Amino acid sequence: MSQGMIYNIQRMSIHDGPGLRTTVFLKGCPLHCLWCSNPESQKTTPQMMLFEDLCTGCGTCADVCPNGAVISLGEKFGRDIEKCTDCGLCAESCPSKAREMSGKIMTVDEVMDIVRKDSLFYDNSDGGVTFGGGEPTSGGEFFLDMAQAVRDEGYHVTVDTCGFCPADRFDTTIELADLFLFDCKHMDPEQHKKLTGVDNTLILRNMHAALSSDTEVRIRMPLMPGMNDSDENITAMADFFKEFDRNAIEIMPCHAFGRNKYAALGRNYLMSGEYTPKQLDVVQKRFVSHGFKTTIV
Amino acid sequence: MTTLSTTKESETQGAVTKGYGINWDTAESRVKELKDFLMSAPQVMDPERLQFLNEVYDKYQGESVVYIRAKLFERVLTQKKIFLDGNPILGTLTGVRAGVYAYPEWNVAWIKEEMQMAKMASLGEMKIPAETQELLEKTYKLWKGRTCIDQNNKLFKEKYGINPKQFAKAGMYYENVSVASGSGIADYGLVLNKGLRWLINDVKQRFENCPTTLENKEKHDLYRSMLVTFDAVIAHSHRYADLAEKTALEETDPKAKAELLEIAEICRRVPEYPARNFREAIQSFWFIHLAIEIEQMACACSPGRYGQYMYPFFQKDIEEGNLTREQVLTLLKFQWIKHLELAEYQGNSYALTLSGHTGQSITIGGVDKDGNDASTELEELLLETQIQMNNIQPTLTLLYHPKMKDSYLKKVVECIRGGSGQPQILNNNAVIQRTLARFAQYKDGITIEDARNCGNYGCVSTGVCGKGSFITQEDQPCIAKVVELMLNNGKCPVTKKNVGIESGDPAQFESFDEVYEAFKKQLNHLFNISRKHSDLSQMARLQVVPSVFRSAMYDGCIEKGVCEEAGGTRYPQVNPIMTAGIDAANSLLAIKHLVFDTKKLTMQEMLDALKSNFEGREDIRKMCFEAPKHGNDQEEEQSFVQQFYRDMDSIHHAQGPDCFGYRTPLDAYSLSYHNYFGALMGALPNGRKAGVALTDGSVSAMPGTDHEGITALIKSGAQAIDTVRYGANHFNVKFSPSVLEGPQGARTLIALIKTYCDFGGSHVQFNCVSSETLKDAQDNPQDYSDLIVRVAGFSAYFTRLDKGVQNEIIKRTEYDS
Repeated sequence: MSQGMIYNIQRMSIHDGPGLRTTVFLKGCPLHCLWCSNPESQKTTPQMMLFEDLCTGCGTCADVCPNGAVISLGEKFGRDIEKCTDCGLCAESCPSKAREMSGKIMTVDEVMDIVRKDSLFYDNSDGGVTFGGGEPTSGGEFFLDMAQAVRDEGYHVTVDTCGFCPADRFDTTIELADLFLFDCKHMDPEQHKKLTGVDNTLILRNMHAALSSDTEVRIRMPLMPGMNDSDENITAMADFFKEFDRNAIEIMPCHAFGRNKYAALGRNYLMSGEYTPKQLDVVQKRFVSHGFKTTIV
Repeated sequence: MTTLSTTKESETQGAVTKGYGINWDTAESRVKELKDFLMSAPQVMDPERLQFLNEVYDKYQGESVVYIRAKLFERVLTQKKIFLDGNPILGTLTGVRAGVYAYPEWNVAWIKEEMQMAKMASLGEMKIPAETQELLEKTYKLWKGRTCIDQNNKLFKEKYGINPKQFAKAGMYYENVSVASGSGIADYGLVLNKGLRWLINDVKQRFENCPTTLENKEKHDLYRSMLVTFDAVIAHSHRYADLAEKTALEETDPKAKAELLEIAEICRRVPEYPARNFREAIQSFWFIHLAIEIEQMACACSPGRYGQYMYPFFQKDIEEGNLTREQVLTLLKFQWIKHLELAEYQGNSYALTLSGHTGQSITIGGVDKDGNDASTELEELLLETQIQMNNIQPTLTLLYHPKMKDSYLKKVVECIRGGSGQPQILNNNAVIQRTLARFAQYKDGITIEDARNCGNYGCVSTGVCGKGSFITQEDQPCIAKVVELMLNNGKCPVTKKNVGIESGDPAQFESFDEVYEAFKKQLNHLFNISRKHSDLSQMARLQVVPSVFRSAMYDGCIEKGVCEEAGGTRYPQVNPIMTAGIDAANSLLAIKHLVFDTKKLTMQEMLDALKSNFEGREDIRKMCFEAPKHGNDQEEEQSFVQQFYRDMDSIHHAQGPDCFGYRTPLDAYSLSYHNYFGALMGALPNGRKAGVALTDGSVSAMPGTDHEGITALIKSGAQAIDTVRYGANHFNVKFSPSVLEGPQGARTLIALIKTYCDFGGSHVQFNCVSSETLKDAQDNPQDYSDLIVRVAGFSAYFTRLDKGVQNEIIKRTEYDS
């Protein structure tokens, strides 16, 4: 039976597709977007996250660490990111949940046991199951097996994707999914690479395939000030989606809610600035002038 | 407002000269003024009832108690000060605005204990004027040793040779007749449709026809006393008619004058005669409700299915164009003010346990006698009234069932979004099943039509509208205390008294089964004591404070000639409320897990840590806190909690039938007893420290211990208790309003309600919180673990968010509102 790396299963998700849903978050992403609000989702291996606010300075972690990676910060304990192997022993012993492991190997059955628990909620709300990430399709066979299993139960399948996925796997995904929440981050290949680490040729191919299929697609755009909100980019989007007669777009304005997770992973948060309501209004008008209908999610 | 505004213009044009004599120009501003006054002025304890009480008891010494009670009722209604305050619905509780009466017949201990303490009632600060203070002191001397609770404890001591005060002091139970409590949903429709004059003739006839035999003595006394009360209620309404007429003479503004003259006409007519329209019906309703509350200001006299019995009057006036929906809404707001005015104060412990809750619940939704959706347009206006008023009283309760109209449910969601937590939801199917099961054992059984006509009273309990009243039973035992007593072999660690039973030295227990057996033994002991005590409390209640007018307002009492406390109503019931079950279940789970399954602790280590209130053993407290807990949809814990509640039900039934002779289901809910008992208890194995409030509700998760999300909590909560075998369950969930935004938010809530009910849950209340609450949650995360907020494209538990994110959400909530 296939298995893979899951970093969270969120029951009662109400913003990841229709109705009440369970969202299965797979760990691992081929993209590294500058604004990523779930930085722990990028690597495919388990990672120890250290939330310093919660540390009570009891020192249990220092006692159990086999690598000498726990360092004293006066009243609290930090980590030496070079020495830490993400083995998770400190997280196991931490009594205040300041140290937590993100990511664990689960089998399809283990995931399904949790997914099935809320079936009545799906029935009563026209909800279902959403796969998110990371990039869920990066889970490969594991992802496809889960999607198939969910489909076999008769639950609605939503895939929240960046679209960066080998073409054959993506075409299989199209068959399994009832709905895509499909990110459109930038239309220009060079800019796309600058912002996310990869160019968008494959993504546009998959977007094309999804939009040409029977599977429902909601186009979503993380909106970043000065990065992808230019008139030029929006014009390019309008040109691309015109072919499919699509003008509805869900926009997700930049927010800094993931900031503390960067700190927890020992990483620097590179984004700065959010939209003021006025600025957002200007950008939204830009969309409208190109015939888009925007919804903020 | 959207549903209303569409009809507004066309109707007001046609009916502007109608709308009865009310001066509509000033109506809305009067509502605001009255509400502002209530919310800002301190409550005042009015001395007049104390004066009447002392005089009447002196004058009628030697009379039967029901007659004295009737004469006291008459004295109050005919001699209390009355006044007009701009509300076109007349009748206030006391002789002053925002007034409160004392009810010393139940309990006077608080008078002595608290004379110098800060006072608290339902609306905040309360003033006790010097005159009241003097009378209170005098009353204390007159009533000391004679009150209901004194009588209860005296009877116990005489019968069992033990002073029962030690049990209450240890926090095993709350003495239920130390405050006025009981009642239910009176038959308001009877007076609206037939009038008191009809009842007078009926009772007179029964009185005359009742054979003058000794066995009929009590019947005689009740009938003659009831007649006194009917006349008093009519006289009370006529006093208002006179006052309005007199005031009208001096009134120069023609619109105000017209309103006063109409008020006089209405008060001259109702409640003596049948109401002919909505305007008269609302006044008649209020005079009856007020009279019931004046007789005994008890928590849980509820108007019930107001939207049903008032509907024909509403429909007629709307159809004939006598009132617009807007005008009805304004009248309802005036009525909301009247409910809010009612308040009570019976000592500080009363304030702690009930938080000043007057329990005036209006039930909406439900089904008709044939099982079809009964919801009415008038009920949608009740929801709109609450949306606009955001009152703490009256409360709204929705009897939810799958046949409800979508548009109606959307109005419900709109109201819940408003933040008052209303309406709370009851599962109508569970209520009907429970009612059928409960009354099947009664001599005359129950009809399906009556079972379908249940309503909510007080907090979360249910009874048959107009035909069944209740009295509290079992003195609200605290189940968490049972664990504490078990862990101390029957000795209360707080009072150091042996109030429990010897159930074995816990350090010697070799298996969890032994622990659980000892727990059951202690539980049996508690139920045994509280049953004995509360059975005697019913005798004390009958002897000291039987209700007369209230009894007449329930079907059955007049026919049988028996007051409701003695089981006169068609479906009398007792409500044994039990509190803090989840604290006990979680504590037992923690012992099982830590001491026996994983052997992380010895029992002695656990006992030592509890004894020291986890002092210096924060590691053990964390272990206890993180041990398996109810609320996470995990099979093992879930089946244990179910077993626990099943066993509790069996042990309760083993105490034998209740004081009416029937098998009674336990009511599992907390009121504010979780605060009261929490303050009296030491540390618990669930990781709770001494003195901290216990878990609220009866199937809510202990704060901070549910980590699987709302769907898991809802499944656990709905299934923890067999809501047919139990009289009630009680479950609270908190949201920030943004989670319920827009059409999808409405769908979310409706789906949660439906699924909770599908799983068999009985009660759930969804609270939408303000930014102030969020700030409080930031400072006191332990109290808000179940609070869900929308972050950005996802929802999360508020207390687990980064502080910066929390601040962001607080800002946004302020912006939203």
